[in-house]
Amino acid sequence: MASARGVLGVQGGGGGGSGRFKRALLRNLIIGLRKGGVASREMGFRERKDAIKRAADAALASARGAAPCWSRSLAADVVAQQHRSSGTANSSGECCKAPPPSPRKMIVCKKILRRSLRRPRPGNATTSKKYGAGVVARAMLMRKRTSVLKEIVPGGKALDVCTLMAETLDYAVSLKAQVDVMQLLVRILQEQNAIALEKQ
Amino acid sequence: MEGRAGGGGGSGGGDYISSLLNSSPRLDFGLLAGGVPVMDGVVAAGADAGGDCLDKLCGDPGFAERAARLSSFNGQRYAGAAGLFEMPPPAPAASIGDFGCGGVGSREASSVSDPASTMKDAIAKKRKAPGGKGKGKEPSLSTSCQVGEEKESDAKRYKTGEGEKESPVKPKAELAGSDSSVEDGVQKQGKGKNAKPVEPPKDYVHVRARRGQATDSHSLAERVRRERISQRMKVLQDLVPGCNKVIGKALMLDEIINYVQSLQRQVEFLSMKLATVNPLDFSNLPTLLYKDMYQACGPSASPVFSLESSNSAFPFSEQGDVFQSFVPNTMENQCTLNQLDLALSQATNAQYAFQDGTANANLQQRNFWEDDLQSVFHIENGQSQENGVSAPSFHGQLQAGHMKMEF
Repeated sequence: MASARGVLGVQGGGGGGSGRFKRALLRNLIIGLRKGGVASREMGFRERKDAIKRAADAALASARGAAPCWSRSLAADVVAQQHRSSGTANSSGECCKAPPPSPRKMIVCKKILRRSLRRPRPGNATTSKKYGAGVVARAMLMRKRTSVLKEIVPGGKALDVCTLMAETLDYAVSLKAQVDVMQLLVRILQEQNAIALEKQ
Repeated sequence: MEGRAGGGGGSGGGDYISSLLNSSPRLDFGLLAGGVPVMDGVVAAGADAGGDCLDKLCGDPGFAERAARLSSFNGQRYAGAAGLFEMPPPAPAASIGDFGCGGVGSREASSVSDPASTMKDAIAKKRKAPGGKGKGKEPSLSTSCQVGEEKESDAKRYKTGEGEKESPVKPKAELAGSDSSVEDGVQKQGKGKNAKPVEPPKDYVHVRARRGQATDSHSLAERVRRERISQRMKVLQDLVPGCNKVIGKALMLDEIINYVQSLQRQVEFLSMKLATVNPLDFSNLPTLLYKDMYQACGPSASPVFSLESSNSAFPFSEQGDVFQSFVPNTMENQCTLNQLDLALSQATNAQYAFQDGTANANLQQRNFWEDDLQSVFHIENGQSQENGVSAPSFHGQLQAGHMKMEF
């Protein structure tokens, strides 16, 4: 069918990642959707949408592999969400990812962080003279933006700026591929429905 | 002189990555992990030019190496930055020059590369030489470093710590900003193949000071770090549509943030759309997908959808199990998501037991499935060629395949 072929154009091309990656994505997505029982009618709309999104994220993380940091973090998120939604508290101990750092450690970490931020670095006097106000302002903007980026990229909070950039790159490409695959799927299903309707 | 192969000379980091993204579909995996270190390392693409490498490149050794390099690259970054001094003997702060960012905003003319990545790149021997666009990222080694600001994309110079050919490097380690001599470090990249079997631990990252720049270790490390960040941002700039016109880190970051956010919103929207598709049944999927996938993606896709058609007894109850299979391994870096896929494949393979096809058909399908899985996980191509696998050995092979994968 010409339309189906047109649909496929999305798959083959696009700058969102390799064909192989997309194939894997599509496969994982379909499997995930079926496993998620999305075809059952009992779910409400919202539930369904969440389940689909979870399946999509899991498919993405699984297709991408364990290499990048965001992918592992995303996978962990998916699992956490699923346990939450299904309400299963079974063996949540082992199901959790790393237990949150003990409160004491967190306090210590925070202290160190605060101290490092507050105390001017040695030689900072000279640098502040060297760099004008404009530069400092620019640095603050950068910091703001990097913090935003850290929120966006899964697992980005623990990364330094340099790794964060690499992760962002990877994540952006994979996201694009995911979007493409999902668009493809939507089109296919809609066509399928249209065909089924025509037959009736 | 620059010993890089001519074709390789044209392949700067940006070219490499952008052409990968646009032209060769299969290389992107390599890109994703390896693109970044390649950027500031050498793209020793010269030797292996052309599309004939595509197949090999999608394969694993290069990919695995790049992935390994990426991790070691990151780990080494600070080690290298800390040991910025090329000669072990002399006292650090004195002799090493620092190239410099004149300030936060200005761009550096020279850059520091991690020699380990250089070496590994050269050794990997599986690089594609893209018909690069001449974006400024190309390490134009013949460009001389000019004192004063210039665009960061130019004049990257590479030096190794091993000092294999670099006699001029040592004495010039002084604050010689004005001398602006180009380092012939490039030739290493061509010869790197012969030279370094052993990698890193001794590598130093060489930084040249520009005139009037501070040379203490802190600022050196800072500059190295900033350089890497800016390199990556350049890659991102090529990636994000519409970012080319924007100059400046902050604006680019804005664009990138917008882009990623919009992609995420699109995913939400699409999942909503999928939720409205009613009925959401996959039984007819193969008929539509099969033809197109088969045509476009190759025969390996077909058995995937023959799988779909056998969905009669698909276990919907396994909802939780799939994800549980990789939860315990979340902390491990390796094979975390293999487990997921393994569980998926095992679950789906269970279907074959119900299927009353011939043993042969099952076998064929399993082989294709295995191939597909392996291809997804970049397992050695050689391994995936075996087709006459018998049923019992399937799982064993799959396990082996998974274990082979390194991330």
